[in-house]
Amino acid sequence: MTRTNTSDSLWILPADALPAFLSALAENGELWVPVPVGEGARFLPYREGLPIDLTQTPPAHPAKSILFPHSEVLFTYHRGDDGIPALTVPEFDSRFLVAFGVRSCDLHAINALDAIFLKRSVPDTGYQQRRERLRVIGIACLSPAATCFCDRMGGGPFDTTGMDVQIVPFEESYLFRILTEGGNQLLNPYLDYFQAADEGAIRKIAALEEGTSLQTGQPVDFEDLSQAIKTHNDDPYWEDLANACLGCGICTFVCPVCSCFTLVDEGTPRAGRRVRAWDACMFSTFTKEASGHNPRGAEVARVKQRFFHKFYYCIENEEPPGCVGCGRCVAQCPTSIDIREVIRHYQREGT
Amino acid sequence: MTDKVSLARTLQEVFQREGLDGVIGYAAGTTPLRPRPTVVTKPEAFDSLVFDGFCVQNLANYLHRHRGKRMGILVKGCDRRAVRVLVQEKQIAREDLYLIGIPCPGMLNRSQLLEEYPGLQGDQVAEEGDTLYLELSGNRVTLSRVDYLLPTCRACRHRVPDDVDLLLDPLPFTSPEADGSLADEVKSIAEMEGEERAGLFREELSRCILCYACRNVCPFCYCETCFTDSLQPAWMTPAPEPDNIFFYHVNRMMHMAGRCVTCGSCEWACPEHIQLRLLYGKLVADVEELFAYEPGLDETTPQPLSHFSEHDPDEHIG
Ligand code: SF4
Ligand code: SF4
Repeated sequence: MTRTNTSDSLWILPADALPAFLSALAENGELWVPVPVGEGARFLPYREGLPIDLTQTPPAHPAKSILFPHSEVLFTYHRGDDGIPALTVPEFDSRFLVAFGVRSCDLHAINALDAIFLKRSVPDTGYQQRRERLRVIGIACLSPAATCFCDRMGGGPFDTTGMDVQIVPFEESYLFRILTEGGNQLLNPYLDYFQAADEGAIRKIAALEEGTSLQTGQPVDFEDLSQAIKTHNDDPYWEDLANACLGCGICTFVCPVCSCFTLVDEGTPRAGRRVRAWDACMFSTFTKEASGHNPRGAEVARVKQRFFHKFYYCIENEEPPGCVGCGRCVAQCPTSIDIREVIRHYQREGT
Repeated sequence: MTDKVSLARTLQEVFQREGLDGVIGYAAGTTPLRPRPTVVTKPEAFDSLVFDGFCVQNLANYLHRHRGKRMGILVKGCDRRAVRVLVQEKQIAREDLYLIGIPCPGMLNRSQLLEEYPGLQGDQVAEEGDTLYLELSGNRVTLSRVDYLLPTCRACRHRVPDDVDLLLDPLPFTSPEADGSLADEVKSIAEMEGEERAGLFREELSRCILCYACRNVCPFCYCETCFTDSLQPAWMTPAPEPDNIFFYHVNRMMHMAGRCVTCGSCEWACPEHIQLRLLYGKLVADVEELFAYEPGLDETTPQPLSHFSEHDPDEHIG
């Protein structure tokens, strides 16, 4: 039975039934959930008994790692006694891949990652197979962080872009709002864990949505911003930022959109593997050439690259902007480099 | 007493009188309890400078970028010692620098405060004497500064920078003398069973994302090509797997023997709050015990690990 009309698409899961529901879900596919690690949550494959953090807004580490892991083995090789090398490519799971508890910002970011990994000339195999299996049970943000500014970047605390199901935590339970046919198919086998939402619950949730406002400013006009940045290549402002920037990888690693990687070979002539791992344009070695020449050898060139890419090249290439307003880089930069400030700096008055 | 206004005036005066190319200091950041290091190069820009209990980051790290220029730099005790190590290592010339010393009141633990008072903003914090006042929506909380000191600062025995070109007056806030808390912490870990100790570091380092903030913030990590980035030979790869992570941290630590001034910047910069002070605290304690040497206290005593003497007793060899 398919349920698609509005009243049928709202279901309540008591909080104490969440682990049982997730365990059941995980039996039929790959399930990723935000797990508290140290002081910040990160997305990890679900295991029974694993603690889940649905409060950190947003989780310290982005959901991009589900589709684009920090490191990934592309193939292993092995030379047998006969001297003939054999290559093994990892097998891909064919079952669905559920990302649970993902927020609006990270889903706008996946939209941007699609442009990079799928829509350019050759789709990326690993990304593509994971992306095709992806179902998203997103979560509404009832208490956005002080660094959140998704409302200016196309998203919002209750925005449902990219979600198959949206959950809204309320009282001792979660409201599940089924948004797509994929979401419907995903939840249908498990409806025994749920109760149908009654009018009262629906009203309370509407009030929650009403009460959660994030108003950090007007939506950014990316055309304007890209023009302003493009014409300020020599602005001393970049030097100010470069004077503080450490050139570490924090901002790019916690960014849900940053997607630069490097390829490394490990092993001996007999056996080994090729690994793809995240890289960062903020590292001084990122653009270092074999000759020793480095076109972005100066800190200021790297600082500029980060913002030029996000707000100028992306727009110029008709791809989504490289920033979704999750504020993670703002919260984590040791030297308080703030992308919101960069936007403010180059924005036209009144926009 | 040094406040924001007299800090700006004094540094501006020094900048003009000494004909400096720039002064390295801290400006206000946009995120709570995080100043932004800055280089002031115009007389009218000195008003942007700040100094408070959150100016943890060792500024000596920035000197590498200004080699050959005549720079003023604000130094706490640990920044001063780091400058001395860099002079000793011939990375910078003392005569190029104008050192403006600030008697350090001990720096505060931002993450501890934010954990206890989520959403705390910089303008809600006031420091006075050895007290910390938080103005929380109509309610004033009084804390003792010493309870919020960074562990490395709490144990610091060299807060007042020596042999500087100008020593500023003490700040209007302060903290008690050093205590043995870091030494005790290090000792209790050294006394653990091997497996227990390994487990502790496995657990801590399992969070490492190899972002290299700890390396890049350190005044002494200035190698043009770090071993982490060497491709031939490739000592390690950028995949954040236990082998790579251990290799990175153990090797960086080895390179710090006789150099680390326990400024705590690496732990402070780490986005994963990995307790790097435990590694470096032990290293520093070992160097002190084995060689009776503390880095950055004088220019003439050679660093024990980068110096060879025919009369070395070589006790560690068989
Ligand atoms: S290793 Fe850490 S504590 Fe030691 S000098 Fe470097 S940044 Fe400071
Ligand atoms: S700063 Fe922290 S996470 Fe980054 S490399 Fe150092 S220990 Fe690892």
